[in-house]
Amino acid sequence: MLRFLLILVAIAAIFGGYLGINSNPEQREVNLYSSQKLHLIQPITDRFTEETGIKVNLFTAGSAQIVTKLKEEGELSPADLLLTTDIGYIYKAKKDGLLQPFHSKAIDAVVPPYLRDPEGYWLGFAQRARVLFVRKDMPEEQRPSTYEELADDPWKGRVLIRDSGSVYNQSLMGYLIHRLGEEKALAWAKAIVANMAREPQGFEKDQLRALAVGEGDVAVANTYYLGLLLNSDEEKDRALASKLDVIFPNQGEGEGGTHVNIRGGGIPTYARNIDEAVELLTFLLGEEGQHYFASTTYEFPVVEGVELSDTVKSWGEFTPYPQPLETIGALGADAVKIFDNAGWK
Amino acid sequence: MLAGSNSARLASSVLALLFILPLAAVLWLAVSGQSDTLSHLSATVLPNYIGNALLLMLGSGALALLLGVSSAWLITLYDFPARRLFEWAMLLPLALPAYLLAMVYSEWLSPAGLLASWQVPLHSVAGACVLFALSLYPYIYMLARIAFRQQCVTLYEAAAMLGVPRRAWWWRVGMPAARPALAIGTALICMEVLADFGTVSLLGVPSFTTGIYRVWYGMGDLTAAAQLSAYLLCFVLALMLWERTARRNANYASIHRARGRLERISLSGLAAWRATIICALPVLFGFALPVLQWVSWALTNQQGGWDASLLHAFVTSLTIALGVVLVVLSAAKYFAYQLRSHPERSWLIRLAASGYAIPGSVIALGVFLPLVALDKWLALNIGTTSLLFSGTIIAVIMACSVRFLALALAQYESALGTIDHTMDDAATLLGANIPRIRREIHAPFLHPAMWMAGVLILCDVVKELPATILLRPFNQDTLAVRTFELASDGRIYQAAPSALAMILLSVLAVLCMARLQHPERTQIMRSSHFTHSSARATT
Repeated sequence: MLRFLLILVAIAAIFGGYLGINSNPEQREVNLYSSQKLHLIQPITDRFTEETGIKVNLFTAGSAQIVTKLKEEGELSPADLLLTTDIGYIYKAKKDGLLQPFHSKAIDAVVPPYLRDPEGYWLGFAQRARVLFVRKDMPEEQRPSTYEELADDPWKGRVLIRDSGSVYNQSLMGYLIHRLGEEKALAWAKAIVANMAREPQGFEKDQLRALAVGEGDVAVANTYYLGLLLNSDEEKDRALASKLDVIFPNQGEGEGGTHVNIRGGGIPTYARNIDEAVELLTFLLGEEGQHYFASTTYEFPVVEGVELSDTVKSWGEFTPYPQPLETIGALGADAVKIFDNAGWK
Repeated sequence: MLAGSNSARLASSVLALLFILPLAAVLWLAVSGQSDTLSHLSATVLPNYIGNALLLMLGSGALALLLGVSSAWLITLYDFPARRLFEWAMLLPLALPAYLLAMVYSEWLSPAGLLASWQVPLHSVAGACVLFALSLYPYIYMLARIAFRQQCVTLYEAAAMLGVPRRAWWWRVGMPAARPALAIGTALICMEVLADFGTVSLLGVPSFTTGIYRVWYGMGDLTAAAQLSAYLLCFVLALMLWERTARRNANYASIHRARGRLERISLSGLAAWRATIICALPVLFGFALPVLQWVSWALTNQQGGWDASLLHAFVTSLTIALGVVLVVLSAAKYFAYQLRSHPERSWLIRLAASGYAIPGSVIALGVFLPLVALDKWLALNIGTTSLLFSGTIIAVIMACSVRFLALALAQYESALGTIDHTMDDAATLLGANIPRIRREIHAPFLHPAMWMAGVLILCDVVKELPATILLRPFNQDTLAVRTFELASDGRIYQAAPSALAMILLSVLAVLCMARLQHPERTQIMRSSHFTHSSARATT
C-alpha cells in the first residue's frame, strides 16, 4: 500500500504544480503575499489579470505569519507585493527593513497623504471605520456619541465587543492610547470590561446579531460587517441587520474623530517584479479597484470621488481621527498589555 | 534480536532527529532571543490560560472516556437494534473538525439561534469540553473496541466462575485489562486539546495556545511565543512519560488473543433501546445533526463556492494527506520496531512524537526555519535562486508529519505489543530471517493498525489548519484553509461547500476503514493469513 501511495503522491506533486515550478518563464507575473483573505482579494486580482495579462500568484495568511515569512526568507523571498489588513504589520515590516520605498506619480496624486507613508514605504488602499451600533428603536437622546461614553455607568451590562485578541480592538486601543494616554486608556478598558453585556465571544458579526436580538444595547464593530449582514444570503441575517443603526463616534468639537484603519500595501525589499507590483497597486487604487472595495467588502475607498455602494452611502459621512497611522502600529504591543492588565479576555 | 545492529540504530536516530529538528528550531528561537513579555504575561493572563488548558484536558478527557468506553463496551458485548450500524458510525465524528462543530453550536445557541431558549453556556470551559469530547471520543472508542475485542475469553470465563455478575464485568475485568489502550487514547485527546486554537478562540475560552498566538500575532513577539511553546513541549513530555508509566504498570495485554470469541448477549426491551440511545447520542450530536446544518448552509449559499477551485483544493488536501500518511506510516513502523527491540533507548523517538501537542503554526515555523536555512545555503553554494524546499508542498508534508507522528506510533506500538517475542523466537528457530518474520508473521497483525493510523492521520491532516497556512505554495489552498478563511470572515454559507468537501473526504476514509476493519473479516483474514504463514514457515 505504501509504495502505491508514494507513486500517487509523486504524480500529484509533479503535475499539480505543488513544487512551485513555473511552467512558462515568458509570462509576466506578480507574487502577492496577502493577509486579506483569498475570497476578498482574488476577484479583483482576477480582473487585474484579465485587464493586463499579468498573472497574480497568491499566498494568503495572517499578517504576523506573512511578515515572519518575509523576514526569514530574506533575499530569496519570491514576494513582489505585500498587502496587509491593518497598519500594524505593514509598519512592522517597514521597521524591520522588509520594504523598499517606491514612488509613483499616479499613486501619489490620488492617495491622501495621511493614508500613506511619508517616506513612500507603504500606502492604504481601503479604509475601515470602527464604530458604534445601536438598535433603531433606541431614542436619539439615549444614544452614545463617543467611545469614551461606553465606559460610563449607564452602560453597565450593555456593551457588546469582541475579545482583545482581535486586531481591530488592538488598533482601537492604539487610537485611545494616542488620544488619551496610557493611563486613561487603561481606565477605559477596565470600565468596558465591567460594562460588557457578556464575556467577549464570537467574531464581529456575532456582536451585531447579539445586539439585534437585545443581548446588549450597543455594539462596537467595523462598519462593513453591517454591510455584509445587510446583503447576506440568509433572510434572518438581513432581518436582524435591518434593525441596526450606525453611529460614527467622536464627531463633536474636540472629540478627535472616528478611529480608522487601513488595508495597506508595500513592496518587499527583495521584490523582483517591481513594475508589475506597482501596476497592481495602481489598479487597486483605480476606479474599478476602489469601487470593488466599496461595493464588495463595504469598506471606504481611499480615493476621493469613487462611487459608493448604496449600503455604504446610507451610513453617511464622518470625520476620521487624523492620527498618523504609524502610531497605531507602534502601539500594538502596548495595546495588548493594557488589555491584559484590564482583564479583557 | 531484531534490528539490533549499529547501523539500524544510527538510521533510527537520524530519522528521529529529522522529526525533532522543527522542535529544536523552536527551542533555539526561544533561547536565542530576548524578551520580557513572559513576565508581563505570567503576571496577568497566563495563570488563567494554564488553568483553562488543564481543565479542558481533564474535562474533555473524562467525557470522551465516558462516551468512548460505554459505546465500545456495549457494541462489543451486547446485541441491540442498529448495533452493526453503530460499529462504524461511532467513528464518524472523526470526520468533523471540532471548529466546524463549534461553529454549528455557536449558531444554534446564539441569541437568534435555533436553540437559544436552552440557555446553554457554550462559551465556557464546560462547553468547550463537551465539544472536544464529542469530536474526539472516537480515539477512545477505537482503541477501547480493539482492546475489549482482543481480551481473552478466559478472563471473562474466570470472572463468571468466580461469581462476578455480567454487569460488573466491565468494571472488574474489561476496564482494567483495557487500561493501556485507554491511556493511549486519553493521552492523544489531551494532546489534541492542548494544541487546539480554532475551537477555543471561537468559543472565547482562552487556553495555553491563546497565549502563544497572542504574543506572536498581537505583540509581534516571536521569541516569547517560542518560549511558551518550549514550556508546552516540556509539559507534553512529562505527560507522555506518565502515560507510558501507566502503560508499563499495566503490561498484561492479551497474549493468547485468538482463543475464541465472547458471545454477545442479545438485549431486548428497554435495555436494548437504552443501549441504542447511548450509542446514538454522540453520533447524532457529534456528527449527524451538525453535518445536516452544514448541508443546509450549503444549500442556502447562493454566492458560489461550487467551482473548479473547490476541486483544486480537494485534490491539494488529498495529496498532502496521502503524502503525510506515507511518510508517517513508514517512519512510525520503523520507530515502533526500534521501541520494541530497544525500549530503553526510546527517549529520542518519544521526543520525535511529541509534536502532536504543539500548535500547528508553531510546528510550521519550526519546519520553515531549517528549510529556509537549507535553501539559503543552497543559494550560496550552488547558486539556486528560489526557495526549493520551504516554498513547496514538501514543507507542508513535513510539518504535518511532525505533528501527527504520535498517532501512527501509538497504533503501531500497541499492535506490536500484542505480538509475543516467543513467536519471533520460534520463527527464527525454524529458519526464518528478520524480513521474512516481519513480512509473514508481523504484517497480518500490523495491518489493522496501519489502516487505522492511515485513516486517523488522513482525517487529521485534512482538518489541520495552522500547520498548512504558513507553508503552502502560491495558489494552493487546502479545504481547511478555504473553509476557515470564509467562515472566520462570517461567510458561513460560502464556507459550507468546502466544509462539506472536507467532511466527505474524511467520511470516505472512515467508511473505508470500517469496511476493512470489520471484525469478522479481520479475524478471518488474520487467522487464515496466520495459518498460511506459519505453514510456510515450517515447510
